[in-house]
Amino acid sequence: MSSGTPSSTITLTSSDGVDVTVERQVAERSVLIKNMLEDLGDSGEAIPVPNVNEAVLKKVIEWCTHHKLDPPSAGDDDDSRRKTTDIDEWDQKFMQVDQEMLFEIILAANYLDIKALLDVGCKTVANMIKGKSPEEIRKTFNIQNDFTPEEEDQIRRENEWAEDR
Amino acid sequence: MSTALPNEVYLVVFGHVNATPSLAAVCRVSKYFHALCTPILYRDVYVQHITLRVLRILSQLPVKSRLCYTRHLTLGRYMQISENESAETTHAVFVMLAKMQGLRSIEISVELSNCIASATYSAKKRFGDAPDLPAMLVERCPRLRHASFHPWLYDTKVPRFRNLRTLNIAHIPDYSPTLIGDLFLRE
Repeated sequence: MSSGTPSSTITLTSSDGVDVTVERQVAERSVLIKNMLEDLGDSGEAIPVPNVNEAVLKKVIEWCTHHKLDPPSAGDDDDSRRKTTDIDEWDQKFMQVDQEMLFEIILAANYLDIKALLDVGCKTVANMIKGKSPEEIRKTFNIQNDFTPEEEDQIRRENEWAEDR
Repeated sequence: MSTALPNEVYLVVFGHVNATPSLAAVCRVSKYFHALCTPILYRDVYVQHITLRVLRILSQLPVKSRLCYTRHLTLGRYMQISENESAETTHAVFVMLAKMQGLRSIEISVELSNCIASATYSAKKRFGDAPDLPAMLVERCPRLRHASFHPWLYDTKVPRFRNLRTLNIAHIPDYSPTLIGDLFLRE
């Protein structure tokens, strides 16, 4: 165990028990892992990632590798109305996975605290919602309509101002 | 889909759905989505075509879980159906504003501003005194930072906005410049 220069690679263990070796700089895109390395020091032991399986962990590492030189994300934009749903081309291709994998990536980004990846994932889901009717959104996400027809009608009336474009 | 996303992630997703009709669609998906998305939908109330009908609905919405979330209000082109609805239209706008205490910015179209101004003018003539739009905004929307409406009534009392940063009005009456400066109270 050396307390000198931190080693340039670390090992992560996925929820299904697979060890994945990754550049330290890449792994530190995750605020969770970065904080763990700072708090615990680099013992050279594998870090368990109990919520993320191998397939998802590899996807997340692929994203972090591509984005390892990105500047740290600027603070939250105060004006939420300026938010765009633009996603850069590489990220768009990266997110072309089945919906199960997309949701798994988002959950992993949320757990590992990788804000930029979480944002790209959420923007991808937002783009799947845009322009769809409630019924189409239910189909896309396999959600049961638990409103009575009266309740749904009441909400439609309340929000009538919003549907006029 | 077997994987569900946690609340905080759905909130990020809906925050990126920056199209009002799509947010309205999300609100009708299920009770769960309705609870999560309604505050986001009501943050930015942008109505392109204003009618008395729409104003009646908006003004009757509850503060809690709806209008308390409104930060930005835009009331667009006003389509007056009958000559004598100005008073009721103005009343509905004032009732709605009274429920939007968190409002940060407001923009009212020329047509609707004119309607409110003329209704206020008649009410003042008839009853001696009546609330006008600037007074309503000062009293009911203390956090207002940006306001845009036209025109400014001549006999409007000079109101004291507390947090206003920009005010956009078409016709400034013959107030002296120092009076205009008084609009922005510095504490």
